[in-house]
Amino acid sequence: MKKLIQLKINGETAEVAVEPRTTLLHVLREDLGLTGTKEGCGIGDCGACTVLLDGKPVASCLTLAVEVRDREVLTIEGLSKDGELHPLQRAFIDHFAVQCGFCTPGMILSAKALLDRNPHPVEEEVRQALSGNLCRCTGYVKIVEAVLAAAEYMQSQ
Amino acid sequence: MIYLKSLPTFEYFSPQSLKEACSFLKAHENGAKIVAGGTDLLIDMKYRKVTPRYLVGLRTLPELSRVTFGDQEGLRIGAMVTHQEIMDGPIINEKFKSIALACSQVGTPQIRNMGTVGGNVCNAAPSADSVPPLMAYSATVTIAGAESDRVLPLEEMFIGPGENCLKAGEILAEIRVPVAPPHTGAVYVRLPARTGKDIAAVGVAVLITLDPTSGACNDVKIVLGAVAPTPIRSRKAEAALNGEKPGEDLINRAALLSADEAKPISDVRSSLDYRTEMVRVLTGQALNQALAIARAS
Repeated sequence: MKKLIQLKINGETAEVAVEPRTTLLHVLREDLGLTGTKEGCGIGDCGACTVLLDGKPVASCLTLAVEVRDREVLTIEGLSKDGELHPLQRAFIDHFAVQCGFCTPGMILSAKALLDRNPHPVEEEVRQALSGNLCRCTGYVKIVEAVLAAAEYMQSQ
Repeated sequence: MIYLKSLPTFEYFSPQSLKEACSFLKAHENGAKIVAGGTDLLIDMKYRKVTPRYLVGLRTLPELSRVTFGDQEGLRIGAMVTHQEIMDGPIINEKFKSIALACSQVGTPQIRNMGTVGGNVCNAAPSADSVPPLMAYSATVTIAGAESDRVLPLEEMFIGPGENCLKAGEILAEIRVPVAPPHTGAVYVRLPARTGKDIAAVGVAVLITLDPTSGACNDVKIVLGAVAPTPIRSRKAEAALNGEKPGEDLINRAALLSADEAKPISDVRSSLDYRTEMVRVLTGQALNQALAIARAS
């Protein structure tokens, strides 16, 4: 049986009808059209479906929508402001950290959670923070460079 | 093995109290399961290994998500506390470092934000990282039931791989960790050292309390993970060290005893022979590290 629940997504309240088995990922992509969040493995290994739940990265493919009631969700669509890209998004472009792009939304959200907690990470901390996000294109070097560059840029602002 | 990306159908029950949750579980003995972080259960459901009729969510019970500490009552960890919350807990980092360290070895950042220590215990994986250090600290578990609660040593929780001792209508509510005496060192070492995804192939937790005047071991706990059907105490090695002054020869002997007590299997992560040898190596390392901490404290 479907239930109406309220979710707070990217700062806005959304009301959706969900079955108990509906995942947060499904709500985002299918009900709300927020297809920036990707479905990769579906079992919490790849990190493509990463969103921030109350500021913390989680696998939305293993998160029940009914358990997200009244909590804050941030997806990649909520990162830019007034058409202006977030410094992390800018840095991923400038440092060629995107190839096929499938892992990018999850990577950027994991990186954002890191920089919110730790604005001056060293390379090892960036690699740890991104250890739940697989990328089969880049070899990670450019991604780590982009995160470090974004951290530096955000400090200079 | 094939899995589906959509979950099987179930009904979700959100109890208002722990007692209500227990009664519901008891009433639906075979058809209901608890969902904590969901990082194991929902995967099993996508594989259709389990298809429960009801899931009982515990998120509405704030008492299960608390960590408290008192000098007398020690550390109390609610079953719904996540691995990340344990890693970040200031008291846990200060007084129970090996537990925080073990939780940092579990899964990925995403999984640590979701997966709970109660789930890690109840899933009863022989490789569960949080368990050996908790057992080394002589942790107890508080189990809530529909009629009454009971308290058990954590090590009695485990029956076999994936099998815990909970009866119908029972829920693991809390893990309690007593404060260790002064001059105690506790560590957890595991292989593979790489974190992020890799499940432990071998894990060893050691806790040593030294007599400050004689330098002899007052209390030694050695707990082996991933090398038996459940996490196990290495009692022969503990007995060899208790009351003795630990030197190099004795530590080597204890490490050999631990390797002898391990009952590992060969699987995709390691062979039986490798695991046995690594129990010896890691037990030696863990004993030396714990001794260094105990002597410095």
